This record gives sequence, C-alpha cells and structure tokens, in this order.
Amino acid sequence: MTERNVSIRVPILARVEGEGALDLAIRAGHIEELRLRIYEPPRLFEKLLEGRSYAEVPDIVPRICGICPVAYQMSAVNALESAFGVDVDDWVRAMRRVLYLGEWIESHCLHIHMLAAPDYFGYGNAIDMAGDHPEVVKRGLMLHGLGNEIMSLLGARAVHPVGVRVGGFHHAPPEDAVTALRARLRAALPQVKALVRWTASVPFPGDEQDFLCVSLRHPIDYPVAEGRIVSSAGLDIGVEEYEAHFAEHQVAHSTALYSLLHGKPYLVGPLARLNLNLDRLPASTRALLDETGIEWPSRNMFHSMVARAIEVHLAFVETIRLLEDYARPQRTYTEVSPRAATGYGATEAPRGILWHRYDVGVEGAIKYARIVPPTSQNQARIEEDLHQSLRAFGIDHDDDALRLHCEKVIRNYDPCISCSTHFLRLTAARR
Amino acid sequence: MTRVRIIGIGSAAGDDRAGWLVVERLDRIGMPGCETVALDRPGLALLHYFADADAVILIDAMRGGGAPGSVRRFTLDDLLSLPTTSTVSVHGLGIVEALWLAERLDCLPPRLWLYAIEAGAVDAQSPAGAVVLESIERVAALIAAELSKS
Repeated sequence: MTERNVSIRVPILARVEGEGALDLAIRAGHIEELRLRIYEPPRLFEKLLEGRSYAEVPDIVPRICGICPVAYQMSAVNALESAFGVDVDDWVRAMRRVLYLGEWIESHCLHIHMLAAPDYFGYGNAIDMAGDHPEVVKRGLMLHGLGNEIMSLLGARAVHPVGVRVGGFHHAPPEDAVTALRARLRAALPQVKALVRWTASVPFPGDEQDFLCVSLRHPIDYPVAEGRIVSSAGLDIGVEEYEAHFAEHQVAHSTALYSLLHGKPYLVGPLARLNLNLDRLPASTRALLDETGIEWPSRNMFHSMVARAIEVHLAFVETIRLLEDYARPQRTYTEVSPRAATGYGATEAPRGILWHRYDVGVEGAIKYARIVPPTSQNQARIEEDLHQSLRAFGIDHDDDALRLHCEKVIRNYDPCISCSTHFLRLTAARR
Repeated sequence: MTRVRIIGIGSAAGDDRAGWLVVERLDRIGMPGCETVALDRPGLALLHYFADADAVILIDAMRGGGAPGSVRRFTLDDLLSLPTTSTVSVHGLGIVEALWLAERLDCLPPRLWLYAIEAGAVDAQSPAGAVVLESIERVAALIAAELSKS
C-alpha cells in the first residue's frame, strides 16, 4: 500500500465576521490532524440585543438566520414568556406550531433537493441534477413553496415582521385564506408520500456509528416548539437546566468552542428527534416510516435525509389537522407585564435544538442574551463523525474523493453556515 | 396586459437593504399595474415569485468591486454568464444559482432583468448608508421610466 501524506484544507466561509474550515492532515496512513470550524455562534447579535426592549427581540433575532427566522423567534418568545410567567392560549400554541412546521417544510425540502440529493445521484450540484431530473426537483420546489405559504400566512418572511410577538401574534389570518391553503396542503399529500418513498430508495452508504442523540420531548406531540430536553443516555431535564449539563469547551487544537453534554459530543437535528420520538409520530407518518425498510432508531447519519422527509410528511399532516375548523380568535395575544427575571427557552429548529437565555431588567430591557444554535452544538459530533467515517471509508483515496466524502458527511448535519457567499475549495499539500 | 413584478431582495444588514428601499420608493411613486415585493434572503423561494409574471425586475445590493452606490443593470443573459458562487451550497441559494435552477426547470419568466447597487457597509441591523440612499432614488426613477415606456 502506498503511504501518502495528505494535507487538505476545505475553507468554508462561515460568517461575515468569522471563517470556517476543515483542516485535514494525514501522515503515514494516520489522521494526524482533523480540525473543524464551521460555525460561530451569533455573539454579535447577543451583544446587539443588550439594552433593547424585550418587545423588540422577536423582530431582531429572525435576522440571525435567513433560513430559519421562525426558529429564532420561537425560542426567543419561549424564553421571554417563561421569564414573565406568561401562559399563551391554545390558539397561539396551535398557530405557532403551524408556523414552525411551515419552516421545517421549507428548510428540509431545500436541503433534501438542493444539498443532499445531488451527492447520491452523482451530480456536483442541484442545477445539473435538475437538468436530468426536473420532476424530482419540481416536486421539491412545489412542496418548498407550500412551506413558504404557511409561513407567509402567519406573517413570517415579511421584511417588516408582522407576525410573532411575546404573548402570541400581532394578527390572525382570515378564515378564507386558511381554508384555501389547507385544501392545497391536502392535495399535495400524495406528493409528500412520494417524496418519503423516494428518499428511502436512495442508496445510502452503510456507516453505523454510536452517538448520543439529544432532542426535546413532549408528553403528547412530536416536539417542535416546546418540551423538556432528553437524550438517548437517559437525560431528562427542563430547559432551564441546560447550562448545568451542556457546556462549551475550548478544544485544545482549535479556536472553536465545542458544546458537550457531560463532556461528550452529541447530535441534535432530525435524526436525533426521530430516534427519540418514534412513538410521537402521527399514525400515517408512522406507517410510511415502517415502509422504509430501515431499522429505527437509526445509527447511520446518512439516514438523516429520510428523517427529514418523514418530518416533512409529519409537518403536512399536523398542519392540516391544526387548521381544521379554523376561526379567528377574539384575542391574538396575551398581555405581557415585563419584570426583572431570567428566562430560558428551547425549541426544535429544522437543524435541532435552539436554546435561548435572556436576563431582563426591571423596565423590560435585555441585560444579557445567550443563544446556542443547533449547528454549533453539532460541531464536536461532526468532527467525531469525520474521524470515524474516514477510517471506515479508508484514507487511501485521492484528494478529490476524500474531500467529497468529507463534504457528504458534513452535509448530513445540514449545517447552517451563513447567509453570505460561500464556496468549497480544495487545496492539497503534500508533506 | 403585461403583468410586471418588481422584487427587492436584501437583508437588514446596512446597504443590503437597498433592494427593499427601492421597492419602498416605487410604492410611494405608485406603479399602476405592477406588483411590488420585498424579500428577505429568499434563496430558493425566489422561484415562487416568477410564476404568473410576464416580466420580473430584480433589485439587489452587490459586491462587484465598484464604488459604493454605483448602479448596474444586468440582463438575464448577463446574469446567466456570471459564475455561480458554489458548486455545493451548504446554505441558501444565490440569485445566479436560483436563475440557473429556474432555467433548468423551465420556469423563468419571459422577461427578467436586475438592477444592482454596489454596497458599502453591510453591518448587521444597520440602516443603509448615505451614498446608497442616493442610488435608490436613481434606480427607482430608472425603473419607473423604463416601465412607463413599455
């Protein structure tokens, strides 16, 4: 066997204020160095929030992420409502779930079709794949569009936010708009089923690993906008206890801060959620899951694509259910009296648990904010995965093959890299 | 009757608001028979706004290396000859990529062009800078004039 020394740098431009990269050095057949740095937590926004009124927080935080603005709003109002002792009513709870599921549909469809699928069908990008398989991409685009419509119905995606506020919503959509959308969602169900079946037919690599799953858990529902925090190792805590168990560590070989649970890497996101909440799926979604032929819970990160498609189906089913017999309420929000307090909130963004903490002053101004996004929580796990995956794949491949394999592994996590321009560039150096 | 949709694309980051501000200006001028839309980093969702339009005008901020505030008009062919920013997007979609996708899926509008305003500072949650604000007036006037002729 020829031994090579390989040094690969995969620069991934992470944010305007920070840069991400994967540095891989292989010497004498061993992985000598594997450093991953793909996401900086939104420290700038945490600072920007200080001194602002609590009421402005739902308008500011959706700017953090172009792909999941609703997730940021939901975790924020969750935290602030817990700080002020506000209980939202059933209408608000239901509509928030609908809004959030609209974002799940959008985000998952984008990822499945534009990011993951090209890998498995031998295309360098989705544009080339769309040329040969327009019907697959069109279906994805159509379903993505319905997710977008759900979000627009409840005021998201508006340049000047008119939707979510602490205590509820600013407005309620009219009955006719809801009825019309619900009919379109129902009409799309066969396409959603077809999507799940198509993802289950994809030839995934077999790559079983052991990893810790973490997600929210709710007594009745598949977790979206509320719940306790659980793990596959038996953790079961309230969201306010997060900091006692999850901590960021400066890793010796990297400038990144890695989030660890009791000192260990862990996974958040669709596969973790599904693995921990199989018994919370609607019956029709569960039936589809059973058809996939995959054994659940799954230890193969490549099944994340199927997990996303399953969640799209769940999102359609639940939204259709929640919008049945819709009527505009008397009140769209509960009154809020701010007080000096600390509030914690956690919801399931498309990519996993998004946790917020706000310390609020007597006048309702934010004194301190801490935001922990899902992608920064996954970094340690991604690095661990790359180590294991590369060992299984073998490092006796050319640089392009190694780079592509690393990209595929990273893509399973659907990492939220940034809304700015980004590219993947390989520079290999021999040493 | 030609259905024209004018789409201002941007984000809340400083000069990246340019597209939204042009749309706001056009709304104040009043563009009869045109639909105006402002979108926050739409990515793939941009394609949904191509449906049922005879002509689409896009407005966005750009980083083209020119002086902040300078304005360029791009035809669809111009845009499709620009390099796509990535072969593997791990996150949203840029405009050029979105247009290529629309081309492959046969859902481009019959006519499309874009006005780009060179951005200066794009700091999170900041307002747009003075130089870009002047360009917004110019672009709005250009669009209004263009549409009144056709």
